[in-house]
Amino acid sequence: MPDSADQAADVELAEALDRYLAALHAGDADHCHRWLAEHPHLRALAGCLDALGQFPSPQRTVSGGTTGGEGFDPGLEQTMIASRSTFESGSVANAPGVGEFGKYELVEEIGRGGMGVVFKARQRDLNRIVALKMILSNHLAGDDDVKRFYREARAAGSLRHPHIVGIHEVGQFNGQHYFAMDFISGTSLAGLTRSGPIDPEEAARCLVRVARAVQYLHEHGIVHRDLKPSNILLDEARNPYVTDFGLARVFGDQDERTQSGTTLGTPGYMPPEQAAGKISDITCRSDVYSMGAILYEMLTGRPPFREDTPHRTILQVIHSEPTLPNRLNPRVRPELERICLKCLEKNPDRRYASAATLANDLDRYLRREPLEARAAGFTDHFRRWIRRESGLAARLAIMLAALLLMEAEHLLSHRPWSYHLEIKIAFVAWSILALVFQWFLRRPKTADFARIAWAITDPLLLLFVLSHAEDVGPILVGYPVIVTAAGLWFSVRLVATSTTACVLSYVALLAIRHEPTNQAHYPLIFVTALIVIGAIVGFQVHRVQTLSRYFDQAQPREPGQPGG
Amino acid sequence: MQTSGSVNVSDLLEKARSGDDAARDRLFVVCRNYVSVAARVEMASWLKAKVDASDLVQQTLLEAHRGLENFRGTTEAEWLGWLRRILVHNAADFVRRFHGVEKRCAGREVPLASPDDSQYGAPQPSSGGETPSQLLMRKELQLQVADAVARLPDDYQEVVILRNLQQLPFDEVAQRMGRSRPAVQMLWMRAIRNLQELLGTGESSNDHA
Repeated sequence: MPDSADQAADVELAEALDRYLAALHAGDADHCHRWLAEHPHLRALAGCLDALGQFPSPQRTVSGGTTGGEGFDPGLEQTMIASRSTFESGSVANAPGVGEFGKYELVEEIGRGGMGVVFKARQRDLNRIVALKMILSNHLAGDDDVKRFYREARAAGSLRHPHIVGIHEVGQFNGQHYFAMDFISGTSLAGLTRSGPIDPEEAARCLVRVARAVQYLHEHGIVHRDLKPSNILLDEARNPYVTDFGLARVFGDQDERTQSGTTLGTPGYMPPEQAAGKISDITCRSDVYSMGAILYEMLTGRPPFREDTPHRTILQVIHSEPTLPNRLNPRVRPELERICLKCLEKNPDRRYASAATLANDLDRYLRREPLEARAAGFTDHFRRWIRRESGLAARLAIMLAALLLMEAEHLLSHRPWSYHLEIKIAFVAWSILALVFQWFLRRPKTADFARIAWAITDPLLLLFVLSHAEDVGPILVGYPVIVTAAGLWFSVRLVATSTTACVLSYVALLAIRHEPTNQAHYPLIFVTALIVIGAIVGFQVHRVQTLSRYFDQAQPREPGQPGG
Repeated sequence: MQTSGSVNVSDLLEKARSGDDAARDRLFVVCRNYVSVAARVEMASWLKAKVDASDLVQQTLLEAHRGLENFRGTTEAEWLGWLRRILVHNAADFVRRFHGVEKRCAGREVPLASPDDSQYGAPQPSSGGETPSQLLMRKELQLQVADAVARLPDDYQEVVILRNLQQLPFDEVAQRMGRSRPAVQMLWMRAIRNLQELLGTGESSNDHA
């Protein structure tokens, strides 16, 4: 009779092995590798499970009891004969030339994404090469999901267009859901843009065809929802083919249910309404946005928004404006930039009404005809600039308001214009500094420096203004404002820097003004309050960061290769 | 019970083809455990109640024996794939019989001489990984696995077949075996340990990283 410690160890071992087996049966190779890394002492037992996994699993025709997956093609069922299990061919063994899968012979793995693994495969009965996408089973949790997957895949399967990747078949084999589609020999747009910008004319020509294909999808009631360079495949002649349409809805909704809005798409290319999780607002114009993002990447070699974490990227997508393509690639003509920016409008109503109008405008651009997208007026530029460089815009606005206020007050009290001249000069100098810092901020290498510089110069300006004003009064409220605003950078370090700078600035102010007072404890209260505010803001930022780390981990990785 | 670890199926196949009856017999002895485990995996529980798995094994080996001339493959993987096709076909016939459907004779001739046969069984996967799975997969393990499973005590065999090979969830395994889920889970864990010892004798250099 084993003692309780042994028993507990046994239970633990049984559960660990169970988890490995579950991952094995689900074909989740990543999970298997992770498990192996965590339990190196159990490798031998895991190897035993692997070996068992190599033994063929039952054919569905005979095993009877495990029925599932409605609408299973009976013809397919007749023809599938496997000598090896799904697990072996589908996941861990990613060496080329592995195994068979029903009537397909797997040639090699060509891609891997959050949704599943893609293989180049040969369909034996028709002797043709197809791309076979296997859906990781954790993406189809219940019968409803499976039904939905089949329904959507069938709808998508009925579509034929010269620039979409056709779906031939959807089914399951040994419990593994899959679909077979055209195999495009070549790369994806993601592979092309990785090496830098594409010739703008070629980019426009490519996007025309993509937009026409997307229009075709829209006409058949399918919103792609996950258009991105890796979903645009290119053949050797660089003809684009849109893929993975119609399935984003199945998997998108599912992910949303399980992880509350983290994996709705790929942050860099999704429209703000999708990034903000407003699912009901997703329309054809959402795809127009994504095409704009794709065009942007073709023109500049990078997506419109790219931050170090998906969470920050999402914030940028929702609130910020991309750097103008022309600044990143001078060869981009203003007309093409206009088309791109019209697609990337935050408000769907301001974008092209349909993929077709986008395609038409691109055609007009290529023929050098006047565009439907009108040239951005002053207000458009202004609006975009405010979003793009909000830190600078806010400071200039504050300076302008302060100058106007001072001017108005001087006029009313009949003071000469030179009154408080040094304060006015300080404001102007501060604005110029802000412009300089913004210039640094635009460059990724110097962005951190610019933020710190801003966090320090703001309290310095306030110190200067306060030391020259005849009365400190309510202007002191500027300190907590600065500390709170520093929180918008989402960096605890910057909040701390800003708070310290404010406290030092205030102490310096006391020394400079040196006003005798009978309320000696007031400064102490003020400094304490500043530190408390800094701590609260810092804590809040820390919380947001913790949450964002959690969600970033849940974010699926991008496939490294074109995911058919 | 046979230990197939050192047997070279390709050699046996070649000799059997050239008329060596001893090699032919040996070939079928070596594969018996494989067919028998595969048959048990193949059979659904309801069918199991009506047919003895050994009938299915018998029938399959008999047909393979008779049809050996039609087999065109040369490798172990091809051979096992072929055996399995016959097995699956026979199992389907059993199912039809119990469903009261006449078996279609035409369908039976197809698998034995099908030109597709040469494609069954995958080529050797290339090396390069360091996980046990990849190490093990360099070798054709199906025969060894089948032998090892056949050497397990009965209840260990059953739990491994239900859980690993039929890929049933533990709840269902528990139901079929008439035991509690935790009991079945512990049984399974012990079975895997036991199996590892059996397999480990031939594979120890791979198993201990």
